[in-house]
Amino acid sequence: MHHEESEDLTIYKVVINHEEQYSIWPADRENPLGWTDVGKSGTKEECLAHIKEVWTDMRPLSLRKKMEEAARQS
Amino acid sequence: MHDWQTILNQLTPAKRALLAARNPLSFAQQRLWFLDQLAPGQADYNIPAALRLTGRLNVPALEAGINEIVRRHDALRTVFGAVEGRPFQLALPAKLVSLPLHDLRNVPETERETRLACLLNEAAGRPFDLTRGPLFSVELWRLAETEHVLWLNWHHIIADGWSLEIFFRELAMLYQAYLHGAPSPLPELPLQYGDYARWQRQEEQGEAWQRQLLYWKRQLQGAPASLPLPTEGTFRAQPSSAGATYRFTLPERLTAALRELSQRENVTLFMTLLAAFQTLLYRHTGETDLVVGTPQTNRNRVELEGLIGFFLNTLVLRGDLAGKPTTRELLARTRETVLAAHAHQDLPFEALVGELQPTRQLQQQPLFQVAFTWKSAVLPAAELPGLTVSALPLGSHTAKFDLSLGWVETAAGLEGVFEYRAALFAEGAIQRWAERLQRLLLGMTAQPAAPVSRLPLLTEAEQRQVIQEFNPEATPLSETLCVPALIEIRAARQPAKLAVVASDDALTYEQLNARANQLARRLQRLGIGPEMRVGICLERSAALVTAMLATLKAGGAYVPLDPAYPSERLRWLAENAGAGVLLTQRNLRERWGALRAPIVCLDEENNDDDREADQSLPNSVTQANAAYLIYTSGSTGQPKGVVVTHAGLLNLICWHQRAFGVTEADRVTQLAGVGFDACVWELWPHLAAGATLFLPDDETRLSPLMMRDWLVAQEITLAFLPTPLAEMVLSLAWPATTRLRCLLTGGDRLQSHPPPGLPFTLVNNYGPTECTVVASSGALAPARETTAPDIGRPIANTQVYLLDAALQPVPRGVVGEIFIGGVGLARGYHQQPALTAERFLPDPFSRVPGARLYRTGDLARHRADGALLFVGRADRQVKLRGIRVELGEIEAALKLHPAVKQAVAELRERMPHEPQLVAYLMPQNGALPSSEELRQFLQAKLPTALLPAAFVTLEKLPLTPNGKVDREALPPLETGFPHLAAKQPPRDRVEFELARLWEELLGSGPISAQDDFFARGGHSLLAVRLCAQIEKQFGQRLSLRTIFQMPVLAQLAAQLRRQANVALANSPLVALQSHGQRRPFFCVHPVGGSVWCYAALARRLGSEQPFYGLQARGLEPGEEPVARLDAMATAYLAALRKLQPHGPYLLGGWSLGGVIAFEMARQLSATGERIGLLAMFDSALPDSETRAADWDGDAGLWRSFAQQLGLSPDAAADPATILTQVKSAGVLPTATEGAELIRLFRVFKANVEALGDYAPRAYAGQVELWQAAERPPEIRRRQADRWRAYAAIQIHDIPGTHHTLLCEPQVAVLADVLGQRLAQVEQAQ
Repeated sequence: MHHEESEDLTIYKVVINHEEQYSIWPADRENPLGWTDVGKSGTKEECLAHIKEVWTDMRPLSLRKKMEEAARQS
Repeated sequence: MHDWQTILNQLTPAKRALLAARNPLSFAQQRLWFLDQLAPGQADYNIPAALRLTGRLNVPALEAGINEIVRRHDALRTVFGAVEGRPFQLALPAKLVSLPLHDLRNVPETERETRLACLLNEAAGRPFDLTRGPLFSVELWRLAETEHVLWLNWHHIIADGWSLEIFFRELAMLYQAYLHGAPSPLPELPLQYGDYARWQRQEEQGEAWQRQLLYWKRQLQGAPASLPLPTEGTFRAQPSSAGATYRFTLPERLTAALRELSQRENVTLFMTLLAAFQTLLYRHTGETDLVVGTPQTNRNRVELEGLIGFFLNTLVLRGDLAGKPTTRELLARTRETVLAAHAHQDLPFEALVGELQPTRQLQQQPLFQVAFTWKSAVLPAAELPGLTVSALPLGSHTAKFDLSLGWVETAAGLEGVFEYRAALFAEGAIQRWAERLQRLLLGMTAQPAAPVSRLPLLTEAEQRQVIQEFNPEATPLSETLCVPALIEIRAARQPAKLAVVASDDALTYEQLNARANQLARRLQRLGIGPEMRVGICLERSAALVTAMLATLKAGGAYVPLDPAYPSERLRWLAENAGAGVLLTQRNLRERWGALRAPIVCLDEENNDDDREADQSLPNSVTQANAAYLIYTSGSTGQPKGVVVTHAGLLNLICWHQRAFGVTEADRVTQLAGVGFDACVWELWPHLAAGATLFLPDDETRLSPLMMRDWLVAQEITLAFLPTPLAEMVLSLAWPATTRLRCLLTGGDRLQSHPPPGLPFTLVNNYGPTECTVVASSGALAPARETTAPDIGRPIANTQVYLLDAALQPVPRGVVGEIFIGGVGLARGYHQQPALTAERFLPDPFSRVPGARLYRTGDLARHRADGALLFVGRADRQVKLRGIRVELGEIEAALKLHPAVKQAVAELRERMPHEPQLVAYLMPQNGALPSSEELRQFLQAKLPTALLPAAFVTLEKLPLTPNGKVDREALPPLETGFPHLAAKQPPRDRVEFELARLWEELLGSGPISAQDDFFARGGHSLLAVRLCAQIEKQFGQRLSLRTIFQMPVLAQLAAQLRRQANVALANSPLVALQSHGQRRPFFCVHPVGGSVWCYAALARRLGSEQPFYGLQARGLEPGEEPVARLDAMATAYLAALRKLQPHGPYLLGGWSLGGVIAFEMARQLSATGERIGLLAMFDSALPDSETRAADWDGDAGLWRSFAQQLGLSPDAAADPATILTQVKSAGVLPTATEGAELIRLFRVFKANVEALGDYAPRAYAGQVELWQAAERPPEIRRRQADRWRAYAAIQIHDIPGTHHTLLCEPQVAVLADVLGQRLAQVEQAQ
């Protein structure tokens, strides 16, 4: 259902939100609210490979900041 | 059918001559004739029409005109008959047609029109009788002196809608002529419809025909057999032609835009509207390969233009929406498809169906279920002198297709009419289809370069409903609270209250808090803090709860590690999670070996914890921190760790407490496996509410009975049970005193509603681990058989969207993938950024910037009230022979059978690339009904294509440690169930004779009891002939429908037996092969008494060699077995001599049969008859040794009887077990009753005893002994020697053992040599 049998030929772009969480979105479509391009597009595999490279700390940005601050204080 | 033969016999010579003018049916007629056979007396194919005639009407002239038309056109006088299931048509001589005149003038004027509409409506619903005729009727209604309505109606089989135009045109010309006393101005017709039908049959052989056939075969290769329209019922409804229509008109501007678009893209308006319709279907089904039918007038020869008749052909238009085409691309594709179809439009649709043999479903029309039509105007306005003529619109109340869209181009613009089966679509559904179609058309004209998959489909109101209204409004939630604080509050407020009660341990809130504080301090000393993981591998105990709480207090995230998992997997999980500490217990310690992290056994003697302070720790976490990490199995290989935050956990806690009114008075359970996130749900919302947790022991956890008793005894008020266990517990009786208020379930697809009368509420839940346990939840009303239970609605602060592949919401009722957004979303997969990015996508519907949506891979649809109906896993939808199969749907249907407790359907390949549906079933108690019964049960609920090919009974379904059904662990077909693979030859007289009919009709054999008539090449017309043959053979009339509903030989035989108690001949003679001119060969039954063992041999000997079996008395009800062998021989001879009064006789028999044949030969020769051949197939006389091994009474006989039926040598010796075994092994028809089995046994016993008592006497003739080559030489020698004492013998060797020599393939050798011997004997005579 709703899965075309052919492989996914969609071109995606890598997008990021304010928490520096990464995702992918069809390249020809407008970004949903609060998401911005990181400047990388390609097949799903290419985009996901890119994300694997750059998304090394999966904690949300605000949490990282809070924890850094807590570490400084202690 | 029958009438005709009687009529034929009684006819005068003149009438016989008339009958010689019988014509074949055209292909199109054949289909309608067949449909009429299938369901006689329907008015579905009536074509009514009405004209309003205003002005002075000359009735005699009108009547004369009608009579002349009837005289001119054979079609209007044609009737249909059949001989032996082969249909023909016959134009009867013209008789005077009178025009009934109904006067409505005495009806009050204000009511006249309504009354007329009502009467016409009723008249249109009157069925025609194809055999008797007439198939055309005409009536006149007088409304006023100068106001008449001419109404006519015919069956589509004699004429199509186009013919109406011819009819009215001719009527106008004739009326004008007759008014003035002039003769008919119409030239005689050069051809009649019968000529056309004959011509079409000749064409069938032609080259053009073959070329077109080739085109269509190529064009439709691999086309889907059915289109799964989103319908409202859970199961597809039984076929019903009750239909309804919905009309709408396109706005003028849109019509103009469509014309413009068509012109620009160089397509016709027909093509554009077809492309839009196929897009609409695609957007409702997700199918990119779509087939619709369109009627096409096929009067492509001048001589046919003026002929009334059925010339309509159906073109099959296959739409290709794969690859996300734009409107422009799709229009170009559609143009090619339509043009090519028109270039090959001569081939009748019915011929195509016959050739393609598409997968057949009785409920559906073959090849397509959705139609698209185009008309330029409703009815031609005929000109009648002195009269104003206008067409009277007639409503339609039947639907020939599941759904059809017709366009009428009128002066006012484009009018669309949806006609649909009322059973398939809910009220209002089609109106929404029409609205969506208009949205699509707007989109196509506005953005022709956009992919049609992305064009707006839903109306704004629909979009608002599925995106906003079906989701809850936001519930405020604390942004700082976390679990440790909630429990510390409880410990302060109710220190002595019991928090956890295990079988050997209990903790108060104060104790729990204090111990957790101590352990938390220790964990912190070991380096645990926020974002650090602690592995917990403990048996279900108070310590387990303490350990989890301690981890949270230390600021860390716990990783539950179920001790039930294999050690290797546990180690992998702990390492993958990067656990900083592992908490376990002494008896599990050794399973861990060396680990990077320190391992702490909580039950160690010198526990450091006691020295730690036990007051609460300062809070060290925020809601954004991880609370736990749970592994779920990935569809591809390795498990993935889901990181869930405190925010999600708090939302779950708050929702749960509110939804179920949890208080400190509640007594709740913890029994889910720790690796299952339901455990999270059982613990925290309840502890945070100050309730008491009860932990059952493992034995209780696994037994439904003990579970119920425990829940009652512990006075549990709220409990969660995984779906399979919940289903079992629900079927038990519950005391009214049960304190249980609410039973929560989830984790698997719940297959039915709770039974009525439960003293508690059942709440079904759905949620992936990635969304903090629960995403949707809802209480279920007690048993409503027909609808599947829903999974409720989204919980607080959670959004559920059902989206298509382009992430757009699907229309209500249409299946879409479940996407979940909201506070409960997990952070992602531990150390798997790519997988996280793939599954957690930007939320295009959220007003919260940067929000994410989790893609579940599950499918669901919305019920009208917004509740979610779970459909299955996207990856559990499989395609089988072009039909999309939802395995869950089959499981749900199976579960409705009272004897089925659990059901799993899987696609398994018994042979490479030949996938079959297999149902694994767990019986309710004791035995399951037979496969045939189950199949029949399902037939009422599922389309034929969804019926499992095999049913496998399992005592228990394998479960994963989390209590879900473990599909991987289901036994493969090949190993455990060899008998399923084997096809059984026909097993009794009814099956055998039926098989012979099939072989003749299908022209192929052998036919097994499990063969499907249609799978073996049968088609609808052969089915009609089969009906006729069955009637002839068995004297029983089966409806044509029966053959479609029970296409498997064994089913059909069972039906015949049921229906008829099939009267069977008294004679022991059974014709195994009655054709041919040669001397018949008679074979006597072996010890079992029946003669089906000779079926293969009879077939192998060919259709020239008549072959009769002699079956034992006692097999048929009411017969007594014969106890003496010489008496049997005498009785058989009496029967045999009726068929062949004198010799030479050809006799034979296998095993005991040979011995009886020997005695028959002896008796015959004693009366002076000659014996042509006496062939004994591996027959032995009992000698002292075999007699010594005497049966130890009836028990031994039963065992030996079972063996002879083909059961294993260690088979049971009691009738009941044998009955179950023979049924499940398929060696006897499943309808076999205990009484029948006993009857068979008595025959067996009589035969055994008759052989034992037989005293052979010398026989002067020659005996041919055919010995099984695989018998030990010693036995063979002894066998031959015994015979030599009584006759001269000649020995042949034949391959096989005693038991296989008559079976394929060995029997080929026997047949070959025996055939030669029979030929020699024949020549010698």
